[in-house]
Amino acid sequence: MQTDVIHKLQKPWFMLSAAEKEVLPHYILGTDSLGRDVLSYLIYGARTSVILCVGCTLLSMLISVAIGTLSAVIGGWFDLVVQRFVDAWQCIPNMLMLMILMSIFGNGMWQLIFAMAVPSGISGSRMIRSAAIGVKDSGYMKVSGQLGCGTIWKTIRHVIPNIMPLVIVSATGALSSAVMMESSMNFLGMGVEPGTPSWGYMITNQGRPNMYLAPWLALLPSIMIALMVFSANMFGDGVRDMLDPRLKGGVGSYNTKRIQKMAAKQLKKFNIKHPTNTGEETQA
Amino acid sequence: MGKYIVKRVLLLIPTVILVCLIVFTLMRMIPGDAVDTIVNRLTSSGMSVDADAVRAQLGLDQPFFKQFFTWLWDICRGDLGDSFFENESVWSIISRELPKSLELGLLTLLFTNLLSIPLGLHCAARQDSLTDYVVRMLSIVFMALPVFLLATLVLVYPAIWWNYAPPITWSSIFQDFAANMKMFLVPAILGAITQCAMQIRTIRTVTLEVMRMDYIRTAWAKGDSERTVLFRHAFRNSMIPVITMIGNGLGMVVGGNVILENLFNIPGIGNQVIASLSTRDYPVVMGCTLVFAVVVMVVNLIVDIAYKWVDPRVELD
Amino acid sequence: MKEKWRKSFLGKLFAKKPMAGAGLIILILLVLVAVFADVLAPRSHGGRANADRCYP
Repeated sequence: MQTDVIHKLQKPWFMLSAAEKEVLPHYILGTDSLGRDVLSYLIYGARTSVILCVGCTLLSMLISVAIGTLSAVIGGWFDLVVQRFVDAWQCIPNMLMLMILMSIFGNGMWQLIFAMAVPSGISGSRMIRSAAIGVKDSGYMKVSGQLGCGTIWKTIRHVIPNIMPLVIVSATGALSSAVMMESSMNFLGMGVEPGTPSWGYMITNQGRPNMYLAPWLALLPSIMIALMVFSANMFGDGVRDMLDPRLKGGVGSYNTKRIQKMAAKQLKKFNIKHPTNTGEETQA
Repeated sequence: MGKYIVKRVLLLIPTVILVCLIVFTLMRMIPGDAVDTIVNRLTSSGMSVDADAVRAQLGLDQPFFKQFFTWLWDICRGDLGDSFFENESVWSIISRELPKSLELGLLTLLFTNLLSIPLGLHCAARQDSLTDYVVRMLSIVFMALPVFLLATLVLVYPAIWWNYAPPITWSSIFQDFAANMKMFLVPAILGAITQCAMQIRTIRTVTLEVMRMDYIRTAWAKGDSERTVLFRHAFRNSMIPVITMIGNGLGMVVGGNVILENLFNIPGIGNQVIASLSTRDYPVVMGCTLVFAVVVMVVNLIVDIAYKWVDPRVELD
Repeated sequence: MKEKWRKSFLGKLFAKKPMAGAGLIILILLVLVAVFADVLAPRSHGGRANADRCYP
């Protein structure tokens, strides 16, 4: 990113007076203390945030599904050991775990993705495991076992497609927490490398030191972070509400309306025009 | 019931050992040897030091599992080790800073519940009223604001407008209540806001579900006054998930809000962990993490037992 | 065609839960901004590298 050496801490364009507008260069949102254009920083920060969050969610889902389904399908002592491990992992507070992991891996984008995905994935594997256990004992699993399919093939082919709604709901939940964690880690300085643009980093480095001179430097990245967290939350809530009734076997999943229509069509064959009360009248 | 308690308590032990193993492994994986730092510090202050001797003294030259079991055995005897850099034992550091984190956490818990329970119940009782809509909108908005965001905005703008700055030194609540409150009140309220938003939504949803149940309908049909129906029947039954949430909040009480402690200069455990991580002070970080994890486990156990006692129909794993 | 879309997952999402639809749109916009960041960021002024302007 280019730095404008002369014009540092310039106000956003709409806050300048008319006389200043003629002299100063046209920075729509102003510049920060190093002279970088704030709008460009926000845009490149969006790129960093999106890569981090999407990468973290995908990796976290992968880990959750792998641990959860294998633990459920293999069962036995493997399941017991893995479950104790997951329990122990969940007891350590999230922030502490993240800080320790980032100390191990150092700053950097891929390190942050990995460090965020691992605790999130291990915690999420519990839900996946309980769903997989519910699917595990169904008929088609036993049949394919008798047909001689291996365990891993059985898992991939049968278990996973059936827990897909839960996986998607879990993924959207992981997305909103990933966004929060990613901005928190960048805020603490334990996130991406210091040179990479990031909204959380801007708040720590530009917003707080310059709070008297340029208070908008703290406000703009805050608005962007809040926007991203808000939309992730809203989307996650909506998807969960829409998919949840299907999980419990409501109208959505078994397509009851279609079945009812089919049944009504078949009933027409018997020429039942309207129900009659003759039977009851004779009894009364 | 008794069997359940015994089973859960027994299950606690292997979990604790696993937590110790995880924490220990993670700490040993952190690059940057503490020995080098110590040697550098000592040599720069003029003493000639043998790195191997320092290593042997700290017990860092022994194989991995030997170190782990030595540490575990020390813990069983109550000794969490000494800090590498301060001249204190880890336990004295923790016991000095734990009360402050506890105070912040308890205040947060207090504010969360004081605010969320009445509001949540009110919104459920007066569904679709103006208050309901306003509270719902506000809770959606506040759920989306990360803690550090609110904290930064609270630190930046009041400083400009009203010359507000959080106090630097800590004073005990028993000696100087006002100064103590000046330090803890703002972060407690900030921490409470996000949790409150989530809790209000949950309370509202659960209470609405309870109010659709048959026994509530019977109470209305009987002609009970609104007060009786709500307070005697509905709210009591909807409080059960709230207890679980309060329990989870209790776990986070000691979990410590690292960000808030950092921003408001509260000398608690979270702040200590950040400082110790940067100096690679293994024993302090391990001790603090272990204390957190054990407290979270114990609190979860108590909450589960309380939940089963309050609602015997529940079948917990 | 419109009926098919209405009944699909996205159609139901926008109809029943408009806020979730708004969230999805904002997320997609953010992803687009992330992908096309180089194009969207404003160019420097004057055509000269800013570091070369060494006015006293």
